[in-house]
Amino acid sequence: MAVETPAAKPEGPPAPEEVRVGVYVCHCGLNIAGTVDCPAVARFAGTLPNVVRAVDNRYMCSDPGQEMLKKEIKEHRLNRVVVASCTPRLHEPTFRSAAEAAGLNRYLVEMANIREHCSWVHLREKEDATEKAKDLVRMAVSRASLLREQAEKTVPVRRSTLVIGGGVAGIQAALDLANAGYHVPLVERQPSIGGRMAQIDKTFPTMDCSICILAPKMSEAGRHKDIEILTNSEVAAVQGYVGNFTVTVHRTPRYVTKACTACGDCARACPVVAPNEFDMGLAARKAIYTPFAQAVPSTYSIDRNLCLNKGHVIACERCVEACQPKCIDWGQQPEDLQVEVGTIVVATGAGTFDPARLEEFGYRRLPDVITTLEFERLINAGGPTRGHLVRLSDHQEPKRVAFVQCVGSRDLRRGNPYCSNICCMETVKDALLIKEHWPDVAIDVYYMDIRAFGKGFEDLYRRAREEGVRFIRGIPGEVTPNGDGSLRLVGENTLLQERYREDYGMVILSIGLEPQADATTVQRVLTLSRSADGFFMEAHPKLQPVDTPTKGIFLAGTAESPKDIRDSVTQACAAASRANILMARGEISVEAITALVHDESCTGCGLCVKVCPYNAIRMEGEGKGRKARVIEAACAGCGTCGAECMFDAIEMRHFTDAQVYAQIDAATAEHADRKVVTFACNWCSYAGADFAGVSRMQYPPNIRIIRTMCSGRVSPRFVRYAFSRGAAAVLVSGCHLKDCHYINANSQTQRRMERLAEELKRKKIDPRRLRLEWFTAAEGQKFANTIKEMREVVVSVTTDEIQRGVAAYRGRLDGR
Amino acid sequence: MEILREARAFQCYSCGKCTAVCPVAAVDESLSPRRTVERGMAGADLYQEELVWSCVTCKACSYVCPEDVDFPGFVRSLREGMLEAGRPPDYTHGEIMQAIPRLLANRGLTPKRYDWVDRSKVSEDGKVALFLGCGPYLDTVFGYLGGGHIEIAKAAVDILNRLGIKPRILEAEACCGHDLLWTGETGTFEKLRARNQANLSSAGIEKIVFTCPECYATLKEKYKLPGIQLVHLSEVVSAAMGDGGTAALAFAPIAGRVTYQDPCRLGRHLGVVGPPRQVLDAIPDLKRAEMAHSGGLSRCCGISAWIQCNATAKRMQLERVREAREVADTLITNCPKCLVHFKCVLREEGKDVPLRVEDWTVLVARSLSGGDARDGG
Repeated sequence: MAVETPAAKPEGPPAPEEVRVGVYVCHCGLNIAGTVDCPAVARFAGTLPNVVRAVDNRYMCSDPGQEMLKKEIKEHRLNRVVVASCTPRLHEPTFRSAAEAAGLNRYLVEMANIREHCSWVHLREKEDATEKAKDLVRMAVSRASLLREQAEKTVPVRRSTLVIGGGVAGIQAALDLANAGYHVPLVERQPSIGGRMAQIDKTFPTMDCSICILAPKMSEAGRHKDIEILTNSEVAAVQGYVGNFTVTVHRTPRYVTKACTACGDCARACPVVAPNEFDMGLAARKAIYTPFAQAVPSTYSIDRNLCLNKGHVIACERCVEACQPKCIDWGQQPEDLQVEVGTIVVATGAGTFDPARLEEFGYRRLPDVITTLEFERLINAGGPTRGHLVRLSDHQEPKRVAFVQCVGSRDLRRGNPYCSNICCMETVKDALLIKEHWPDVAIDVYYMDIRAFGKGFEDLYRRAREEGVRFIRGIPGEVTPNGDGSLRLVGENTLLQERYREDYGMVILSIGLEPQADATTVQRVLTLSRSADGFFMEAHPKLQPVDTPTKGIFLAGTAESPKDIRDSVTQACAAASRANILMARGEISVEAITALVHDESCTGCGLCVKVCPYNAIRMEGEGKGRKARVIEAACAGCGTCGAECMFDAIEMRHFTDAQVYAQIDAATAEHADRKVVTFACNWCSYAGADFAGVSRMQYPPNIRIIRTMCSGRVSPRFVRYAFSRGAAAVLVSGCHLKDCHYINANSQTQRRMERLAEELKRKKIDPRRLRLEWFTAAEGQKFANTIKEMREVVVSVTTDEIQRGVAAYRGRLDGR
Repeated sequence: MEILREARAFQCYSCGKCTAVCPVAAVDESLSPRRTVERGMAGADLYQEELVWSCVTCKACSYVCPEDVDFPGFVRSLREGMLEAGRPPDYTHGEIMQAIPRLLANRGLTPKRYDWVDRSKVSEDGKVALFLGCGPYLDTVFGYLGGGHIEIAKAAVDILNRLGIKPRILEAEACCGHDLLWTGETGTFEKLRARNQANLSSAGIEKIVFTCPECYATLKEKYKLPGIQLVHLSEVVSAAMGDGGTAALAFAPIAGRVTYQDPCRLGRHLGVVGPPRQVLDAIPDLKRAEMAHSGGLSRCCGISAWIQCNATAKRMQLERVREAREVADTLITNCPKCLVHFKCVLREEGKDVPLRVEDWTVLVARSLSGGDARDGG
């Protein structure tokens, strides 16, 4: 059921005499005051329209500072507050809370960033920094004058969570949530839950038997009255929004009923043999099978791709004949289940790097070159060799074993650029396992770095060395077969500065993790973002490590990035907790920055629907009555629809067009020909500019930043208006294309700016005056360099050129 | 410092893979690209490093380097400084192979080297040119090896004719400058480049076909030739095969056990690994096997830019021809320098290795003009 915003009457800005702005210029000790003349800025602020109080203060964010603010609001009957201090990304919540405590609506607070964007980056240009601070305050006051009170809406939330993925992370999240009283459907595409943890033999650093510690959790999940395990199932579609998701789960039938006792008679009778995926292809299974002994559910499953029976033609019934409880049912059909949940936890796990991509290691060409995952199956007592370590070529025990680290990881050219987290400890553990059973086997580990960073890891690494495992620093350049069946590794021992040529009976490649092959599908179905490494992106790497940018959807386990079991479980507990917070009260409030459609202006063209990354807008009605409707709970407030609408029918709450124009006006009030009007998105580029400030990277003081939630908010109209005001240049910035906080809204920015660039060319305006640039929150240096380059543009742009821009767009407030 | 930064040397993990695959380090264990980089980062005087001249710039290191350090580029930049520091390389063959491009750059000479061209097979004003490179000089300087370079050029013309193309042979073509570029004579290289760019851009051509991988790589990576497509002959032939143009390309049988040597510039520098093989595999009766090191891991012919012909180079060449012999009777080269170097080692140090060497272009032309039947074989 959609939660809609009723059509609103357009309300203009409050009448000027009603607005009473208080401006507070913070010294931040010497951080700001050491560069910017704060008293002068405060005096200047006092001269601006609507400002009734302008004061400077040493530390606004401190308790005394906040108390002062509250007092000021009450004493001077302020109805708008501007705090000129640090970045809003740090203290906006602080000042909003203080204002609220004084009885002022939290949305009536504006900040001017005169620290990260001013005093810290113009340390040696005090006069220019002070002038810039004045401009930033002027911009903030203009915007503040147009801010309106906002009320946050509440939306009901269903008390159930869909967990996607039945590995240890998914199982843990499901158990935590079910134990908290929520209903949890758990979707797993394999016939059994358990995932990777079920495949490995022992866990580091405790050397616990992996399946032994996992199986009880699997059983508990299988028995739990509030967990509905849906194996052989995949999520096909997700509709709705936080609190109200409707998920279509596609179930492939097992053709075996719940009456199955897992006796295995059917498998013994089945004539079809195939490699068992669970054993990495090193052992066989039948067409009717259970992937491993401790499978949950234990019900067998028929792989119809392998089974001799196709469609309705039943030619072979050996399993049916062998089955005593008579639980094989050819009549089962695939079905699509509709599941209604309030939150979703994505725990879809990771794939592994295929080392055949690095031909020098001979994987698949040479049978005695195996991966660490294949090793886990070999050494496992339940595996294909009953736990005996033997060479695949001749089933002999190897006397010398080599491990090669970083296979497919930390490789910019032919592998994945990131470190896969677990491979060092995986190898240390494997080496100890070998030594435990066959103490005379010589083990050499070829590495670049050994990362034993976690609790107990260094101890395990020490134990391995104590047992005589040699660590040789130098990755081999090739693995070649010798005539006698052994394998030769050639490389440079970088610590001894000598070449080595060593022979082994077995070479084990420590492969890295990578995103699952179907990550793109999952991403699309759930509207997730992926980070540069291809794993699913969290909302914030430090402060929101298990949230996704999509409200109501959380991440756990290796789906988010490579990690070990402990961290997967930790994240699963965290995701469960985050989901719990959303669902506990039965309702959530939505930040009041959402889109609002003004029916009387809406022509029903539908362009807004096309650009919304969240499918949060729907067209309703027919003919002249066809209007866009925003589903407020699904709206993330990116503003892309607002920028797309050609009829001014969409108002972006708290980031209105009028407010943006007011900021542009303020920024270009004086010496516009020296200024670069800069749009920066809240999540990446504004943060990148903050980072440049924190790192004290110095750059020229020409830019004036206007913050929007997303670069998709930046309409070409804003850019044209800036030119019409005589700005030297405009810089539009946002997240890198794959990293948009609002999934893909920045692709609209790119499209619009490219078209605008064409338009500028037609109007013979210097194309360097409009620049589109993407920054991550960490690219402070790139930000600073870009501003330096823009300064060259500012300095070289002639008065004629400025006038050309003014003339081209003069008098067109709407830029159409 | 700048050189280190441009080559991304600071990103070096010191993992040792470069040294592990370096063909020079394989025969001379005192040399190691990794150690050279490390010493550079530690502030050592890199102009004292032997590897600066001994590196054959084959890019095997770059192929495996996880941090994409550009060691050959690094070496190339250092070589400029080596000359300035009065530490030139050991030039081979009396420095003639450097003298020729220097003359072409500094004296603006236009050599008469196309007397052998059959004018009926080439065009005076077509849009597709064949870049000849050093072929004619190599036959003269390396006559004692039995020549074969003008033969490559003629074969290339023949193959193009069969594809319906009469290529232009540009009288004004000067040496591409590869050897000067890679021996630190950047200034002279730039003069050659300017001359070539001017002539090529104003000749009204749209495509240049190369037989020499070094000319191809140099023009592709270092020249600015807007509007001109650069392509290797093997790519042209393999594309024509793909278009179903097998009527024009009737490969006649040539019996033999061959293996293909990937030239460094064609294989690793430019990534052209498939097309030459595809064409060879289309020749009936020709059995092709891969050497132990092939494709991205292929081993260099031992010498680059006509310098440092010494025991190390000879050992590299010897090991490579032995590797070839393990899988074939004939080594197919696709680069005029590989041809010279392998023929040379087989004459002396490799006398006991029963291996023939044949150029790819010549072999393909042979097949297209009747193959064994024509040669009575």
